[in-house]
Amino acid sequence: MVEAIFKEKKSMRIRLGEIWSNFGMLIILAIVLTIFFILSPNFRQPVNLIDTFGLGSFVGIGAIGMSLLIMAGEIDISVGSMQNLLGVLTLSLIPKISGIGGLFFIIVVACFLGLINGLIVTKLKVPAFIATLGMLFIYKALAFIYTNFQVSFTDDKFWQFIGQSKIFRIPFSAILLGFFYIVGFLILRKTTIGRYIVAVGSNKNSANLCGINVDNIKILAFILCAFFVAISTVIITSAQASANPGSLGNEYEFRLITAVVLGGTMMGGGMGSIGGTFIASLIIVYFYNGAGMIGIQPYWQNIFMGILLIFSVSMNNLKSTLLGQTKG
Amino acid sequence: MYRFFKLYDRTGVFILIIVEAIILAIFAPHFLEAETILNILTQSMTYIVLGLGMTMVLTSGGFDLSLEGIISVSAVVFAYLTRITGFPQAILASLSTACLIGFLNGFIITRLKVNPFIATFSMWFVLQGAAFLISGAKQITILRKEYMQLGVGKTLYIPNTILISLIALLVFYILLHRTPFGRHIVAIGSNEPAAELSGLNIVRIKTLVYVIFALTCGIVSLIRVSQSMIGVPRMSQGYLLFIFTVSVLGGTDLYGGKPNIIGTFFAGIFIAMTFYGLNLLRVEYNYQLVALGGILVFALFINGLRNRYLSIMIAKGVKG
Repeated sequence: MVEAIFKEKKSMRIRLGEIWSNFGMLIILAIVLTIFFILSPNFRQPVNLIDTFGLGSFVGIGAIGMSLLIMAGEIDISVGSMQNLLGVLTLSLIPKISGIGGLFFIIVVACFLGLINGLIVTKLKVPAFIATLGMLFIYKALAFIYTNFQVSFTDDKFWQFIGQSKIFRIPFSAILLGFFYIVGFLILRKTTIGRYIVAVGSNKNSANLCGINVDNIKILAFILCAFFVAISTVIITSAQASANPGSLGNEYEFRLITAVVLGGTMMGGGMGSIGGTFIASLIIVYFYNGAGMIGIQPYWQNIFMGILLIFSVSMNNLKSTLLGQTKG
Repeated sequence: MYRFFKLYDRTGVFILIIVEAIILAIFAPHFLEAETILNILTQSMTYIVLGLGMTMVLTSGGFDLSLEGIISVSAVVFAYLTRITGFPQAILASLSTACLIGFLNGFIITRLKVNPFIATFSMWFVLQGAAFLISGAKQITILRKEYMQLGVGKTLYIPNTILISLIALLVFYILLHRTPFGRHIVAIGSNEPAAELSGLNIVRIKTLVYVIFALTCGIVSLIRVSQSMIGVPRMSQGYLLFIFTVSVLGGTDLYGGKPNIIGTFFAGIFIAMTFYGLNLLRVEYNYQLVALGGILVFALFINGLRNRYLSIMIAKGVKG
């Protein structure tokens, strides 16, 4: 009798935890969409929904790299100013090296910056958030020094194609988003690198004992993160056809980390899903879009987002407790 | 080598200060004047007080990224209330707001078990938003002149700010090294499960740590408001970097359990001196930020070197 009650209770708990971990994000997305559908007539236009999806892909794509990095147990909060620096550098060089050259340039520079971040974190053995905090200010200051606060514009056809064109009414950036999510998913689930990232994130020491070069995997995760930041920078600077050192990349790190954590990836690494990140980045994009449309002040938007972030992490912890997982 | 690190822990930053002073004395005009030195000491107050608070938080094994937010909110609350009530009430309200935010941070971290990074990172944005909402995204000027005395006045011929940093040094030294509470913080920072098993109330101690840190933020914000006589919703931008640099340069271990109060104090003076010196040399602010990032990386480098060396020593069984 007692046993039966206990069993019933336990299965209930586990069921709750499973529901949250499988459908929690979808439930929040549904709530956000429903609220804005009711409140804003402009929001429910299909054109708006599709365009927001395309424009917002710069959050979604950046979040792939951040997911991989957080799964490897590290974090990079310099992504916002990295985007700023990359954007202003590349846009000022495009007249000389053309759009395609700019694309190669931005990817190479981004990988280099990611390598620097990774080297500082792994070789100097410092917590990632503090090392990248220092880099955040350095990148930002370098961007200001380089541009002297001048906004740079571009009219390169190739560059504008990436963020502004549409193929059968679907924004090209949305197609890119889909493509890179498939790539991210394959990296995480089907390659050894992905397995190594998860292994390093869940237990550094045992990964080391298994013969994985922990430092190299972490550096690789930093480089991947910077690579996806570069792609997202291409999309946002192309959509705006300009790069403003004062505003490009502001609060970007906040949005990326929110997307990743909301998507169910554990801080501390080892657990997470690319699909969750995808849905969470949709939540963020539609939230900011809808909130702007019904005229909520940007300050309130950040307050909501912060509370949502704390809420979702505590829900994740609750889920771990419900499912009886120890790592938090 | 061990002796070197031991010596560096005690005097490292002090040597850096002397080296920098010599360099500045040679290259910068007007450096060796009583007024310059007094200015540096006055300006170092913010770095010292916040740095000491951050050292305490780092010692407990956590950290607080929301400090810019706390400073902005309490500055704005104070400036807003001076229009309505008297100064004592406004000061009280502002400090209690800061404490409340600290309690909230502690609550989220200890009770909801959210990782301190995420908790304080999102609080940073929440508070920044709140500061803009309270002030209506405007500067609030304080109309009555007498409040200025707090930040720029003198007591017994000593500027108030210097007095405040000395008091903070004393308080934090006693708190961390001479009270049971301080021992508990160190214990939690060195090994949290062990501290919990030996019966410490982790939740209460950690929450209190965040409350005390928020209180230091509140005090600093009151003094900064009194120096500038306006409450700005973006008060103290970039302070997060400066304060972390102060704590790390001071020799506090980022992984918790090893505070260095004296080092933090001198590191605060060092940072103030760096800024002042770079201003004397007419270096642009952005280059100053790069220089500061460089100092942080240098301090992290020394810290990493020491940790690696110590872990090798421990592995070999040599006790220090």
